Amino acid sequence: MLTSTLNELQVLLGGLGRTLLISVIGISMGLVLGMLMGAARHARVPVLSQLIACYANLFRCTPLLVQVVMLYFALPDLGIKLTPFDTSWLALGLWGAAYHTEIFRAGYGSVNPNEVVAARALGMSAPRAFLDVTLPLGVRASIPAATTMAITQFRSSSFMIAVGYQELTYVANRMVADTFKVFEIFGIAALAYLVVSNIIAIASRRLERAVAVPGLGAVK
Amino acid sequence: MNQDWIGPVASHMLSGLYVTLWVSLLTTLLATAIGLFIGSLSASTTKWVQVAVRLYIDIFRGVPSLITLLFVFFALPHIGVSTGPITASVLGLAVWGGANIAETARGAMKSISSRQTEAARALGLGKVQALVFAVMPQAIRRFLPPYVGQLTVLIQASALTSVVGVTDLLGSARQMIERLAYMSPDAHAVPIYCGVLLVFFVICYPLTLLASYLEGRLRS
Amino acid sequence: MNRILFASISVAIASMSFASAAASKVNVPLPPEVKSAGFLTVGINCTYPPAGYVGLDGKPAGYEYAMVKRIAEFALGTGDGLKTQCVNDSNRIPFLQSGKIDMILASLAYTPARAEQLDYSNPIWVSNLQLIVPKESKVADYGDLTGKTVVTPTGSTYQTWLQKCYPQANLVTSQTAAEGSTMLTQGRADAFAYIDVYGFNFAQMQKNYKVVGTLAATAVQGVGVKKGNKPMLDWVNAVLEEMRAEDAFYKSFSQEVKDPTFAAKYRQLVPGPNMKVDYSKSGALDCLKAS
Repeated sequence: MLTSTLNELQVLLGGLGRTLLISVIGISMGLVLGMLMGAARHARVPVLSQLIACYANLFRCTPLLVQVVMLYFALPDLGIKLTPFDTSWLALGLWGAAYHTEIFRAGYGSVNPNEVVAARALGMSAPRAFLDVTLPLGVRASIPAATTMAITQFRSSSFMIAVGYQELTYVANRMVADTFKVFEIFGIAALAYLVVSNIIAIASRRLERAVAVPGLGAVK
Repeated sequence: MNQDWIGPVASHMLSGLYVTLWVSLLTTLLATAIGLFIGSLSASTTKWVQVAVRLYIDIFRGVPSLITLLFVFFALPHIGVSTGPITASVLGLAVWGGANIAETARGAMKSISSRQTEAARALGLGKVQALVFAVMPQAIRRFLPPYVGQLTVLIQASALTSVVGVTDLLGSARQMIERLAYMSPDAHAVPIYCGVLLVFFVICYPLTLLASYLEGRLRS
Repeated sequence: MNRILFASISVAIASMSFASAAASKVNVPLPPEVKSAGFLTVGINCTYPPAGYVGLDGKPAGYEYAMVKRIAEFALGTGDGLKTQCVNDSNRIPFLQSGKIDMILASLAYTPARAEQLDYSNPIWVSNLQLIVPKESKVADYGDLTGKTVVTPTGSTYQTWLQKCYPQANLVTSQTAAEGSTMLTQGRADAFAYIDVYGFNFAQMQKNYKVVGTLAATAVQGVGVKKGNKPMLDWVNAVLEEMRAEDAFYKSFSQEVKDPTFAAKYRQLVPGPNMKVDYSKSGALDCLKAS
């Protein structure tokens, strides 16, 4: 009895590891792309800005579940064949980036324009002013919203069962179908998601406090 | 190029679309009811109510919607409740969606400064009256734009019901692809999935436009 | 003389009408829940041709569905008397336990583990595993899969069998049969492991693929009913006995799988008037003897 329980825990742990792996990659990708694309949108770069808006609308207004299936089965027609693993983090990253773009754009927008004016008055060029003033302050302002989105990305890794990637939800579902221990297995899986989500949230609050610029408000 | 397959496939997917819309509608109604109820409870000053609200929101936002859905679907028969897949899906999704809406409502109410409540009380309004006549009207304006955004998330989440065997838009698309793959060399998977994406986009995009419009109009 | 003639003709007519009324009836009473509901609800496959799938008209199809229709005729007749519910490997048993379906007829292979969760009827079908590979492939049998990628539908006994007997193969799963075959044609898998019927049909359609492999993982399939539901089990078994006598299983299959030579291979394997199958023949999880 005990060995089977240990075995099950081992399998679940493996699933959790895979969940964390694609989440870390997907979240990083989403954040980086979001910061870049949000900047382009904020600066209203012609053509690029509109293209990014289209991309963001497309990926936010369609279910991630269908996006991931499309990435897996449609891309080979264009010659790109991805493993379930690559499809998973790529889908998470692209979907997350669409949301992060908007989040960082709002963050950059929330920076007090007087700061930028002051920087320009000191002789900084526009790009310089952005890099040294808007970007750091805007990113700090975006931390709460970006964290919420990152946690959402982490939870959405469960959709990757659609391409057979053996993350935590896939593994748990399979186990329940075989052993019918509904409450125990889903309970443990749910607990795992909760614990990691909370760790991310707590780490984010610490980060916020650590990088807060003294004297500059708008950081709740 | 044989186009005969388009008609039958489209008509079968149309019946799947009806199911998607129906599930989305039921989920929206139930989730909104749950969310508003729990959200308004968060204004309570009773300690255990606050704790219960916090617990509900944290748990059902922290656990992936798919796991909640699977859990409700598998667990209900165990406790003797006999429901169909649609009922179980709506329940599972509404419990999750309700937590999100509750958090939005809670945030909206909290953002209304407590001085408003004090002022209302000073004018002689009772506790509940202050809530209903002073805080709520202002909170609603803060609440509506993100709420509409959450509706789009809920509608897309309805695609998850295909995992528990509801023949919704995605499920019917899969069935058609299965049939085509068996009977002909080309399963037309890509155009069919594109059709699914397009339908979701068409439903969701106007809602996002509505959300931005509301945000602009209701900015206080 | 006339009176005798008249009497015998009346008796003949009476017995004929009695016989036709009895043609779709069994001695075991219909379970009360079906009678009061007014229809029989059966869980079927919707994404596993040729067993169970959805036709282009949106209606269920497949040889399992043909069997389901015959069962329903014994209950309350087809048409309004039958309702179907699409199930998959992970939700079919919850559906059964919650009473949303009266029975499962969805390639339900017998395994001791499943037999603890539901009651199996007498066997209705036998199915075997085979491999679909590209024409030039060197894979000739399961042993050649070492280090190669093989795809099989998720939750099937074939998944468990491959994991158990050929762990050196790289096993991936697909959500449906079409996705599995797509993974094969896209070169993501070296072999697609599924029932031999599907492989046969596939190789006919796609000329650069062939079917190889010993018939293995013999799955004896039955109808699943809720554990402990004796009235339902007795009724279903009585109906299935009638169907076996009229060779209904093989007829459903050969109507679906049009190729007579291929269908004939099944003659010796499946339940029929001269052939009774029992679950002892089930080797769904038994590895092949090493040759």
